[in-house]
Amino acid sequence: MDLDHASPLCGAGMESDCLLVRAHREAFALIEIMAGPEADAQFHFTGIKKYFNSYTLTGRMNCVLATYGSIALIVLYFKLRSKKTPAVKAT
Amino acid sequence: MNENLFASFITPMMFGLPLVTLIVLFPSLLFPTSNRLVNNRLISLQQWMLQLVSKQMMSIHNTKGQTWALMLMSLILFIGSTNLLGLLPHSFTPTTQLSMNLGMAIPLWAGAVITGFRNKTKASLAHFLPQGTPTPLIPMLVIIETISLFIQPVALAVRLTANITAGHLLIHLIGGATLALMSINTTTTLITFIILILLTVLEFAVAMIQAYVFTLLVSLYLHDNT
Repeated sequence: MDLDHASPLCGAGMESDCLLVRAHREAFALIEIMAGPEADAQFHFTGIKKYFNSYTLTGRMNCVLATYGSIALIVLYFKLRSKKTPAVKAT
Repeated sequence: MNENLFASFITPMMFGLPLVTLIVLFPSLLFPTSNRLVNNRLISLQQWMLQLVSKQMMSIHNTKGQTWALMLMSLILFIGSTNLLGLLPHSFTPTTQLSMNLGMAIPLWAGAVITGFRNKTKASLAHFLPQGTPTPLIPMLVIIETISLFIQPVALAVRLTANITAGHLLIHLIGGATLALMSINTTTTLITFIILILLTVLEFAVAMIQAYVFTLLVSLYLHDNT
């Protein structure tokens, strides 16, 4: 669908309609991106972004797992630290 | 008007024995079953209504999701009939009890979520992070999405409880006000009585809508996970 010429008023000085066409174009692009795993192929990340990004299914999954892992590590650290610290003795 | 406004929400007992089980089972008696090919009018009407609701609700689901059709239809029938029976005077409505609604919401939600994690683990985990999130916001959004997931069954149960309880309380209050105003001012009594009638009509609608909303949300959670 040729959204650039969707509105006959585009280019005729009717800026609000051009904005409407642009909004529709972005909405369609968003729907296209959110199509599912088969859409992951359109993204070409390199390095660490290949595994941790917020666009591909794998990237999103790894980010979620990394967040949960970090929270678990923080909780474990504070638990072990409280066990190591000896109880304060009354003087 | 009762001296205790919440007397109608206390689980009924008879000779020290709880009647809740009988009350919960009672609506099933109102839906007759038949093993005939051509049924009488009542059963035909019931079957037509069930078919209408199930077609509308299950059309969005794939094969896996449609295996839940019996569960969802039973759910909407049970909640709808319980809510409507609760509008009878001096009756007890099981769906005003949060414990009961949590007992329905949590297993259904958990079943849908576990199904999603078993069949589509990657997609279910990726669901916790909206696509296109800026990098600095990722940890915060994952936490927010996790919280919103666990809030779902609580919201489901509290929505039904609050709506039904609030409606019954309002009917109780306005009914009591109508009675009290009878000896004071006839015109005000009439206006209050009209408001009571309109409120009762609204409560009939709310009873059916809440059943539909509960079932629809469970259906949507299932759709997201199948």
